[in-house]
Amino acid sequence: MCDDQFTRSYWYAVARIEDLPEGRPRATKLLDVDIDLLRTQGQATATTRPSDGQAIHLPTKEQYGHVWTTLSESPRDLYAMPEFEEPGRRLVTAGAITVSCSGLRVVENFLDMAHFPFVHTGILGEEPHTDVAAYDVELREDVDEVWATKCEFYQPKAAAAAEGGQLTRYMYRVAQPFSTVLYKTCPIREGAWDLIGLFIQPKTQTECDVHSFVLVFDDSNSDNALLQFQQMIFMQDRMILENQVPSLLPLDPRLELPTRADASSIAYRRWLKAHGQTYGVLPQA
Amino acid sequence: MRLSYGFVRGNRLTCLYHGWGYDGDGACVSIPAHPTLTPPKTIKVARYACVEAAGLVWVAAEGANDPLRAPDGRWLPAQTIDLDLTLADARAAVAAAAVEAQAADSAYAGSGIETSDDSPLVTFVDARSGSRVLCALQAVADDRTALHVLVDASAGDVKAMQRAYAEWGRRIRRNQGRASLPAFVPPAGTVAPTSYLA
Amino acid sequence: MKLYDYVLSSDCYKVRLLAGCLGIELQTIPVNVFPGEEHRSPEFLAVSPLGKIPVLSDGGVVLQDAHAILVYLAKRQGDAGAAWYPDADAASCAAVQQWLTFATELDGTIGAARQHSMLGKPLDVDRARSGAREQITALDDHLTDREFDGSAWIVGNSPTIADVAVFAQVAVAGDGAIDLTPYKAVGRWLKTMVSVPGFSPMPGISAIR
Repeated sequence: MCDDQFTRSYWYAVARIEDLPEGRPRATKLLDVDIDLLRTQGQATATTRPSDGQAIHLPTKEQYGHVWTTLSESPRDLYAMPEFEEPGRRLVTAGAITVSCSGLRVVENFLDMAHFPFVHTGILGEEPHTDVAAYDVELREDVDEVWATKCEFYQPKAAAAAEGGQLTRYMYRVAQPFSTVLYKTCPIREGAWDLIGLFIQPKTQTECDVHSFVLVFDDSNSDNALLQFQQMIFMQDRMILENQVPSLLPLDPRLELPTRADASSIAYRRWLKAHGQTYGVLPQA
Repeated sequence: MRLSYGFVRGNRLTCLYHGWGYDGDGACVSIPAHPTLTPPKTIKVARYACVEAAGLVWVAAEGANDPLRAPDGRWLPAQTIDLDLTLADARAAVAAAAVEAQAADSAYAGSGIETSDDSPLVTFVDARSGSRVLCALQAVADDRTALHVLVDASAGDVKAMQRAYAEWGRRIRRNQGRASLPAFVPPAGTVAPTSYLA
Repeated sequence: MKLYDYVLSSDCYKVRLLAGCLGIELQTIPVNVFPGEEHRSPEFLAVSPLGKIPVLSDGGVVLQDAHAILVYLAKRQGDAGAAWYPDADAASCAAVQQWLTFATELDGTIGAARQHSMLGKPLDVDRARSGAREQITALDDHLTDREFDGSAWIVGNSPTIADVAVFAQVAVAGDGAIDLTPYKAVGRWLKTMVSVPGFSPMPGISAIR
């Protein structure tokens, strides 16, 4: 049972829209609650499946290629990504991949550039280009989000559409405790950002389903090539994430020593702490 | 992330995740994300005393400060066998199997099985060849024990001994949990216990 | 040569791995197996009636099975591939077949555990994992015996398609939460495979040294 009100106040993606067709119910879990998903008369529905007592109908919405639900009676607005309305972009949804660790660890790993040369060798990074240059981090109080901007990293093959190495510019956005989006310089369109995001569905404190998407301008790669690139990168991360000890995220800064490269992670952990995050967090000694 | 997933480069143990390099004292000596930075001395991983002896790598348990008392001589590995047994049950199973190996040739009446209740080692003499066998038990978890089987490098046909005692170890693995293990009474003249874990 | 490929499939990886070691350039055509299940689509069944990946298409030859493709690639390279598929010797050729079957059986254990752990496929995962451990134990015993023979490989004295087929399953056992640390000879063999010229990893395998 999750009594973390901050965590409960958000919407969570629980399935891709096309994976919930009429007449094919799905069972899943969100924040330790068993949930049945069903589409009837075109409408996605989510119902809790309590071991005793009454089933509760949860609100649903369909956005960004996914079905979303929430355990809150007055949830926060789902965050805005106007890029989904831009013509010419391609959306690829990569399906849910299960990871045995806190979903907060998944977000933190996503924010980290220093691991690129070692975990995504030859793709998102390569020795000797290991230097993480200083970048800006801010808490955007109007929307209650953490952003890291002016990030730069040398990448041998930054995207499915990239030819050869390049200095890639990044912005990272933590829009929810369990959801994060990367804005990356588009290799083929001057001034545009490509989006890659994770909608993490925490099933328990130490297991999550990671729904991911790619929203890009790309004239040369098939949807399947974009999908394979995304799944390849994520599976490289998954091996690391499943071996994290402990699998819960520690908020005590003495437990995992940060360096300057971890400025985004420091800000993320502080933000979680300020909101009293307990779900998926290592209890303080 | 465990350092054992990492790699050794230039005598540095390197973490797979971010490439942080650690020297033999456990001190972090390089952080690739900040190539010009000298890592602060506070970044250190726990270090355990470690010795190579008798064909094995030995690590001192936390707080142990007795000197290592490894068996003399040169030893060659047969096989490491994973047993779903507690250390005590594994020791009993190994000792019981050693009785069998000793009895294979009734003409042999040499030295016996050496172990004790708190020793991670069992040594005995193979009846057929008359050469020694070393079993080092490593408690991997409460109910799991790794059995390292080694043979005396000076044995006549050492290859045959390695093969025979790899197979002997596999038999212990196959028999584990099959029936209640026979009780083992250590014979007289057991080796001194050590506080080291293999 | 065209390979209908899926990045998370051990069977597809077998083909990419051997092609790399033999220096064969493959044109890969990604198939959306997860989440799209495109391998069940009429369009894909027109290419491969068996509905399986990988599929190799080379001129008029279409092969719908990973191990058949391994044999084909090794034989097609003539002398350069002969060591990878030692079919001149009856015993070696049969031993390779035996371990290819072993690799197929790993799909029902390691492969099943991966499908469950990664993609949530409902199945008896404890049974899959304990079956995997029994098989990996047998492999560890075999590789130990091979070391006594003076060889680091499953068959003969150099890597064969048997090593490729078994490696592609065992090396990603961790994806299915199967711990490989107890199997010391397997661990040495995995490291040796990574250093074979032309080696390429799949996600879940670290090749950095």
